[in-house]
Amino acid sequence: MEKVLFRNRRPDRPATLTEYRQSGGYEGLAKALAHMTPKDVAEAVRASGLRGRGGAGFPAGRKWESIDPARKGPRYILPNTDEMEPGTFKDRILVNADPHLVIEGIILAAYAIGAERGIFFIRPSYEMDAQLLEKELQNAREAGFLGKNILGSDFSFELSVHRSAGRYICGEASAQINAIQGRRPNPRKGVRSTDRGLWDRPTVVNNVETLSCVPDIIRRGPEWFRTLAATPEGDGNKLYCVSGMVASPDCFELPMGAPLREIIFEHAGGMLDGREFKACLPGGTSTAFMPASLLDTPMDFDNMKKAGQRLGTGSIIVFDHKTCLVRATINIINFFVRESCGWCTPCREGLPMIRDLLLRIENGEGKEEHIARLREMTAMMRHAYCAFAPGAAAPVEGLLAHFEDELREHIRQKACPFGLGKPRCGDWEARQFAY
Amino acid sequence: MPTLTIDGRTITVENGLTVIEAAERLGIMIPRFCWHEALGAAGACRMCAVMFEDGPVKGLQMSCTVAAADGMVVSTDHPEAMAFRAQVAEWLMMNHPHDCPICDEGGQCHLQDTTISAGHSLRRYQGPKRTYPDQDLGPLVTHEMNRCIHCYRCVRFYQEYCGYRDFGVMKNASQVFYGRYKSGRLESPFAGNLTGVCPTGVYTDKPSRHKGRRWDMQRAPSVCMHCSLGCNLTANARYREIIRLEARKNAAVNGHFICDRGRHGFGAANLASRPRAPMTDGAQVSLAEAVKTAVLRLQNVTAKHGPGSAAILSSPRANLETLAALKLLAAETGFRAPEYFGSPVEIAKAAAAARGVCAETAVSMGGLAKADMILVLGADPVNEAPMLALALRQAARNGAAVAVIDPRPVSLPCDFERVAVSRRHLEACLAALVGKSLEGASLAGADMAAYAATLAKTPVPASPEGLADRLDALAQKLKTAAFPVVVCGFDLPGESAPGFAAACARLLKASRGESGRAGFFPLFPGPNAMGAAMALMDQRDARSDPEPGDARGVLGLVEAMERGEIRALLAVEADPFALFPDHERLRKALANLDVLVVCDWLPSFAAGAARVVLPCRNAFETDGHYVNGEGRLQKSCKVFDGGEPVSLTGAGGHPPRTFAAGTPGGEAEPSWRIVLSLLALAAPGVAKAVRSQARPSLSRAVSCALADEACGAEGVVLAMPRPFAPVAPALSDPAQNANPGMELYLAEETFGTEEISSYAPITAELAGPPVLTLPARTAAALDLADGGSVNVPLPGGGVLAVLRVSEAMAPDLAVLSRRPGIPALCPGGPIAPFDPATLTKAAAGTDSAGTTDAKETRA
Amino acid sequence: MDETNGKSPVSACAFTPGERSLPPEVEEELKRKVAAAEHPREMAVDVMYALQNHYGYFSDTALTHACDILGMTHVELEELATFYDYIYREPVGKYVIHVCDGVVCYLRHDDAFFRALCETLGVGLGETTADRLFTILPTACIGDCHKAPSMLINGVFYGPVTPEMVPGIIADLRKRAEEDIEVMCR
Repeated sequence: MEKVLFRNRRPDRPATLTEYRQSGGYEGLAKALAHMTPKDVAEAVRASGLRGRGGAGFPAGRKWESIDPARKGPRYILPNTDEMEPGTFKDRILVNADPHLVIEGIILAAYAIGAERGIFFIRPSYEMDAQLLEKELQNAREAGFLGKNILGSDFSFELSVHRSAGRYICGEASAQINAIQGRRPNPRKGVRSTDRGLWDRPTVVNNVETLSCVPDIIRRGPEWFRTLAATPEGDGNKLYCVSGMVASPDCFELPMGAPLREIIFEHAGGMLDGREFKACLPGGTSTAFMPASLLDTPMDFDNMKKAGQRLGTGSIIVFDHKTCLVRATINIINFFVRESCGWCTPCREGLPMIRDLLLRIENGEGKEEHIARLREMTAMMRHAYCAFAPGAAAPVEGLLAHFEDELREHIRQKACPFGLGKPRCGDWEARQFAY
Repeated sequence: MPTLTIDGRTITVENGLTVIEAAERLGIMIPRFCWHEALGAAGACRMCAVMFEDGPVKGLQMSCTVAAADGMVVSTDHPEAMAFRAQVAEWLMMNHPHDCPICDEGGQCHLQDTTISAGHSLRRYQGPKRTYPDQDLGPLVTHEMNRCIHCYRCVRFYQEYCGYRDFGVMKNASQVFYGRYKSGRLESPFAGNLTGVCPTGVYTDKPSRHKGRRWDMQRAPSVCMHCSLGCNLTANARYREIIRLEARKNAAVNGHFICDRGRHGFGAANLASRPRAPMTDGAQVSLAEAVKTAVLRLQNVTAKHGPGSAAILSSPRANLETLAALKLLAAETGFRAPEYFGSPVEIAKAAAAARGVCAETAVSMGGLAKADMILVLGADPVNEAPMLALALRQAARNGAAVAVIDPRPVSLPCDFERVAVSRRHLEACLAALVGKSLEGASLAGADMAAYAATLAKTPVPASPEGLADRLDALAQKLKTAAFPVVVCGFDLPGESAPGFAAACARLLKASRGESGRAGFFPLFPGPNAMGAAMALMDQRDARSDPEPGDARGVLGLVEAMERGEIRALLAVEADPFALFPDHERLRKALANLDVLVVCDWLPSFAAGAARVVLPCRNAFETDGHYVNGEGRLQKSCKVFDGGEPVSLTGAGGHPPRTFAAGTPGGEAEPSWRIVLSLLALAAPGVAKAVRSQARPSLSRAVSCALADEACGAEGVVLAMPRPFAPVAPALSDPAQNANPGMELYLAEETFGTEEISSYAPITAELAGPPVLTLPARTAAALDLADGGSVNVPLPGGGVLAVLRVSEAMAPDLAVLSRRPGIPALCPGGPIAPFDPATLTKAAAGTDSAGTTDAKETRA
Repeated sequence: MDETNGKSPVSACAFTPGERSLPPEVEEELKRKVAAAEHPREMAVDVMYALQNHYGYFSDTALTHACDILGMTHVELEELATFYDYIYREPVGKYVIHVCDGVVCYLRHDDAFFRALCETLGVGLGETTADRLFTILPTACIGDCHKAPSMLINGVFYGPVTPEMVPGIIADLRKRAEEDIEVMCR
């Protein structure tokens, strides 16, 4: 298959501006500014069927076109580089592989929506990415791709880097907007950010992987983009992360809709020696455990939904037969408990209650009724204020849906059947550290 | 106007109402925590979940965030909704300490009620609870964070509604913590409302901690006595003591909240030193005997020196019943017509302001939120009438432009345009501003048009620099304002200011046509000052003399006492020392009297000096009607029957096991009844007819409806249509302009200056030492630094004050905290010429001024 | 309080620069950026990072200093600082070792790795060494899942890490501590 996003990926360093241009870089931008209106660009992206790669899968073109032209500007584009979903590292690989692919995608999106300013929102652990982008943004500026009257057109656009101070919830679009505004990054529901976003102005938040698909859609056309996917429902190429108990964990660029089995067993080298596949999380820890029976599912948004699953970020975490899924779920839910913004009751209080029940089960104090209570409470998470809590509940729901016998075995034996003893490490007690 | 069905019942509501509010209209109280009528929806607690079975929205949704729409079918008791709400309650109770037995909120706790109504009862969670260290938030509010359910109401109230910035929400996840950066007193003068807004016992009233539960209390609706806004309260009494005051909702006046002065200023009611026993010449007698003695002595004086030798003094804190009874007394006995104010200037201001409150420009405090431009003339709301500051903030939050024309460094909890001009130029600024905004406007009536034209020609004061441009800009804004309001202060502006401000408001209204709106909102010096002004005008109208004429206030009384014309004084719910600042002169004048009869409940100096003391009841101990500054008649109800607190009769233990008829210390009667009994003795024939129909005759006397039915939940606005009368603004003398001398102004402060609240023991702690505020240039010229201690020499003695230096005030004014009852701080009046060179730095290490202790008696 | 234009009353943030004042050009630059920003609050995180790195951690002094530069109150800064996990309100070492305890890293290591860190440094999880060089901070997920088990130290990823590698990594950092350049996000 043809590599598009990773065509310039090197093992040791990012691609330079020159190397990017040699592979067709910035030709899309030149074409758009010379021959296309912003509306044309948005239409092309819509026609391509590109869907957001930040986890929600919302059609990108449709999001751009939803800005009401009557609303007062200025408009903003926020390339979301807050990637903090456990198991997800594709955006980091992408930015480090070909920063200008990302930059060009952002400039094109800005042109399409009429944004004057873009702000990279980068998580603090990606400090090196922030430095890299600052350097490459300067190169792009000097080459005339950013700033006033880009490539001699009427379009002016400035892009800068904003370092986040942490916390997973900042990846949520409306929370990110609050964070940039110097407010506590609670999500803000009931208002669309394309209506009233950053500083109450129309704002588009897109994942950087989504944006990096745009240059080639414009350069080579939406029809070409539609030929890439492995399934009719898929869109373009996708970056799939694979990690966990596999031989060759990495990030792979594959046609959208590649079967799960192929991704794990062909590209990621299959299971480690002596380990058998038990389950995987297909899209990071806010998706549900998928058992072996679902390994043939094509990994695109629609087919996953048909299978009762969620593609999310397409970051696959693989669990083996020697791993206690209950203990793994405790680790996952602990992450969410710690990262909750604390706004709404189900997330702030309900997740710790779910963790407590799982801990009891893992500690050998589980009771039959705990399973029903877990089922009730996880189902209620969808009535929380934002999508954080339902995501946190997903692995637990997966556990209950496909691995209920593992839970029951804990209860029957009054101990963890994997013989691991009490859970280690102080983090389950939610001890507060320096922050 | 959407029509929707909730639990099988249909209702049509106005656009924009949420489903939770629509349900309330049907009497269905959907459980809720974070939603509050004044704070809006947050969507945080998830408690108000209901099932939307049909219509444009379907499924389980939060009723506080969904706008009512046509065709909605909502079920609040759908099994899924009930199960979800019960689970939310269980989650909220997960970390709760379940300490209801020792929590003051118990019995009036929204969490208790909602947990039960949500159907959660058995505790299943067996894990550890998260706990918090508490902070010391000051003397008024206790902090117990373990009870918190994280509804975010406190921080939304404190930051968004009130605009103060020293309290917030910290951390994340279930560690979320509401508090200050470090322990310390909350800066907002509205912080006490945290105790009402918090649905649990995190914030409870500190002064009344553990003094009683809701079911122990006698409760009644009350009206605040500590300024002219007339905010609504609920008073709680137990064991013959007022324990605590709470805010009572009145959408037209104070909304859901009250200020801390109103909440904590009631301490005088419980003082041991209150006059409770009728006294004659220092000996305790029965009330009937004291009344008899009073009448005899008064009649002795009038027999010898004529009826005009007996004078009557009341005040803006007496209720309408008392004012009416005094009018009757004067009319029937020939005693001088009652006085209510301190001086002719005050009377002129009050009368003009009262006339200005008319149907054409009536606006309630709640209604200020709808104004789009508010001009504040010579008022400092945070210090003078705090809830007005909060109302201005709500208007600003709704987009109103607020401008303050005042020489003091006024601060407001919202953005505003500051026009810091000399006190002498206030009216000139308003005249220029209003006049310019009306250029080209059509005004019905030649007199209005001519008047407006004169105003437009008012010369703009030369300083500060750029004033003319700023007033021009404001005039342009005023021109396009759909609903401008003029707020006028009482104490600082000159004599003609309220009348002039009212006339400006009338012009603004007239220029906006039939359906246009403009408002006039004056401040008055007391809870019933408007009632007193109306009584004064009533007296005049009866004499067909439209001007305040004879009335000269306490100043007039003092002058007449000095001339020997007045030899007897009956003071009813009035302390002449609070009304008249020259205490030396007043003391001398009173010493000349043959008879001083005081009927009061406050342990004032006059009460201490009187030979006949007739103790009366305060507003908690009797019903009474009061008229607030916008002409709203409101009823304050009796909470308990009066008498000495059990904590005093029992000396902290069980009350004495003796038996007697009557309540210990319970001889006090409502002052109006005492006055009528004076009348019964002084003019027997008339009195019977009057007393047998006391209420209607009192109504006639004060010309307004006192019937209960007329006084609905929000009171009755008495503003009547009035003819327009142009008033000339006071423009300063050009000679003065050239060499404006500095003035010293004794200013009211949030705590410590208002008469009744200054008696409350807690006020001393809240008020702090006196502060002298100087313009920066003056301070620099004298080498005085911000925060230092200075000695302020005054006719009555020197005062040690903390110095504050400000860039944001007029250069010709110095402001000193007023402290009633301390003669040293009261020279000729609240404003006097001042030479800053007489200030001296206080020695380092000197105690900060201690003369602010609220004394129980004013000896 | 901004007295000239009527703003909400605010308790004075009395900040007096002590011996560890920011270099004047840094202070000027921060103030310039704040003044140039559309809204001063949008510089809050940048100012917090700058002061955190200068003072070693985001101490009370650093917070008061931030108030002064941003024109915000103490509690307004505290609202932000205590929400975020990369703003340290308690002392941390020059090197903050974010050792990942997310589920992928959890899968790929056992106790030994955490124990090796704690033993080499002589402190427990969440604690700082006496020489103020190292803090061990369990964090999830740092974004290096394909190299699990992983840790992040001052912007640099170390992964896959075994217990045996730990002493060497620490020794190397100790050597570099003097001249190592500062990164914004520790």
